[in-house]
Amino acid sequence: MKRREVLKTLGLAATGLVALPSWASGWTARDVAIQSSTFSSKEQALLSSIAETIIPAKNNVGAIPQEVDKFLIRLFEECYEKVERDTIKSQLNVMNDRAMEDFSSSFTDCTQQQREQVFRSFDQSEDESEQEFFQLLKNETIRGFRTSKVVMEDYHGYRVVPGFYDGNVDVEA
Amino acid sequence: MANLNIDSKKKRTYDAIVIGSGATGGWAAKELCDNGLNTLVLERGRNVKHMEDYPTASKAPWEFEFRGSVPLDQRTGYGDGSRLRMETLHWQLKDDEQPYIAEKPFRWFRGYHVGGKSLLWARQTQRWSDFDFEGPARDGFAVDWPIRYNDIEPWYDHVEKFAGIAGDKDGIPELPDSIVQPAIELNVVEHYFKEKIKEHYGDARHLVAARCAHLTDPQEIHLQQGRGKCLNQTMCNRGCNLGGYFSSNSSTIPWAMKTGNLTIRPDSVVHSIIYDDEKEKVTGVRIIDRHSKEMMEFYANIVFVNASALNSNMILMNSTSNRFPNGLGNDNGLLGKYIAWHNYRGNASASVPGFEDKKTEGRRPSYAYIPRFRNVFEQESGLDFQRGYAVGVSAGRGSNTNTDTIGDNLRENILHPELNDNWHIGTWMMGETVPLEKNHVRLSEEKTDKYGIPQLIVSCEWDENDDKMTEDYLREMTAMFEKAGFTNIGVEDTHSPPGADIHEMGGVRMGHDPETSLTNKWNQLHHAKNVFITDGACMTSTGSQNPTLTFMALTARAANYAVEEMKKGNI
Repeated sequence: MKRREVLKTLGLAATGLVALPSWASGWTARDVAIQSSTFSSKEQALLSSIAETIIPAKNNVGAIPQEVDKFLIRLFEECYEKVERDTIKSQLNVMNDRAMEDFSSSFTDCTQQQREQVFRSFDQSEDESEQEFFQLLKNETIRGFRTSKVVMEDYHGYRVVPGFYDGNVDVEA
Repeated sequence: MANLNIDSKKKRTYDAIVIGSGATGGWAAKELCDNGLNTLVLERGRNVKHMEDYPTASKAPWEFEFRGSVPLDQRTGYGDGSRLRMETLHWQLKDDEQPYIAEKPFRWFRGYHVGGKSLLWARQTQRWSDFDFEGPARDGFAVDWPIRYNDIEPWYDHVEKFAGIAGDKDGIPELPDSIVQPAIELNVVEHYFKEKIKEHYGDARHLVAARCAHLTDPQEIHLQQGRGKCLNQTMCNRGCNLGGYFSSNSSTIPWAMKTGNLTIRPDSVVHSIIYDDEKEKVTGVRIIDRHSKEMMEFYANIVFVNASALNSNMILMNSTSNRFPNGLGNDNGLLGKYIAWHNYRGNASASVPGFEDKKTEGRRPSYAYIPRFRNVFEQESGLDFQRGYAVGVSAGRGSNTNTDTIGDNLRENILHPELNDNWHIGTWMMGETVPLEKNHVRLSEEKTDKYGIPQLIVSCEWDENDDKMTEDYLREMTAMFEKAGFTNIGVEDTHSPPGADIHEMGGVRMGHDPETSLTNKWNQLHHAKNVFITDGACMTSTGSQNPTLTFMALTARAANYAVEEMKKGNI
């Protein structure tokens, strides 16, 4: 059911062979939309799509494989005031409308390049609330990604229990 | 019925009562229990069991659903809630627990749970020297300390052996050596700065590895406490499952518990200390149960007041009787006066040229330290302020990520941060403040808290001496940085309010003379000899060192004295 709903949201046919965006390929019905959220499945799909636009995956490392989209949805739901959440929702709609205007396609259905273009237009907008939306989504996506296990452990060498400090380490040339 | 009352009273009677379970309350409990006294510790907050009650210990950032942000529904009751973090939410005090009135800007940090601020402290443990104890007498402020370094030295030893201190034997007169385990090491840039300071200032200024209460080489006594080596998690303020640093919870309280002599009663808000006008002595402590709001009394021969400096003042002020209408032991009207703290207003930072081929790895729970160098051996004629400041120092080489972009480039930038071109060094001042009578706390005559206890009014402000000292720090730090060849020097007076240092002290100061002090050289109230005040409230002056080690040593000393006096039948 959830998968069907999301596919509909994405503007894809629910039956037949369709090319899902790469980030959707790992989905199962269970982990698609977060049910208790006040974000509709369409809004959730848009948030996922923005996260993917900001940090697309390569070799299974990116916003979607690291579940930054889920982090964003839960974060906005639980840690943001309703007024901020409502602003996010309305901006999501503005963004989707802009994608429709510019590319005759929903934001989620656009290519990475098109989505980047639409999303960047918020940064370049003269409307302060659009700039804020851009910065907020970007900052929180970066935060979610940077604090993920894979990024911290595999790329930044983070250890929960380092067991040492060395204040005189040669930098590898 | 009469028998029942006697039984009930007997059940509520102990040899000693300790008010508070933080660093000093824990030490009082340990020493009294080790000496065979049946001891009751009263803690106003909830119980915190070592390990069991550290919900976020050793949790990685990604294990927090909101990566440290606190959900709105968990923020209620904590002011505006914007500074809360999930990692340490379990220590936060709700606003309605103990509202207070800051007549002038003041921040009052409290740790109301078993373990108190020993779970939250910075774990820095520099000893005082006679240049600190002799300060008031030499420079003519406050009153003369009734003790000198010789009096407290064996108790520093005693506390340090048990708590476990990392540090070096530096042989500096103004920073007497501790009993140490291997120091938390300086990094290559801090070593360089140390050498530069030596080169330019000779023996007049020193940079050392700060001494701190971390186990780097646990001894038998620490293993007996169930504690292990610090493994550099640097998550200390969440509670440490390893017992890698000293807290009441990891060390003194379980130790005291093992003697079989300790009872801890959490959720016991002390209302007042009971003075029996007929017996002409203190006979116990009156509490309000935090949950039932029932008032209860507990009885003992000895009472230790370790509720944290300002709260100890509050309890004494609220302990009125016919004999002491103005608060327990307060015949001279000085209770609550001469409150002082530490001046942490100054910060400085700089870039460090060179060392491009060096970086750090792992993490470190401590820093470097420059002991006080101003007005140490005498009041220097060229200086327009009294006393001086120590300096905390930390250098490091961070990394940076270009996040100007989005898309594939952003991902690669985040995955592969670049080492900063330069190392960075930061320092912070830790200044002594001179206790002044006008800086005081008192009880509100109108407002009470939800337990019916009068609210505390805090009336403390910076003095010209603090302003001048801050200016001197900014100037001297600039000079030291310049002499070391550092660049991009930035200095700042943050004008942080008093109390932001979390080192508030005084109000029940020690002294020789009952006319001018509240407690004697053994921390006994001059006029109620079975009451001992051994937390920050007893401090005659503040020194510039992080004060907890000195509080703990004073406590252990006073507790052993109390036991002797009790055995002699003097109290």
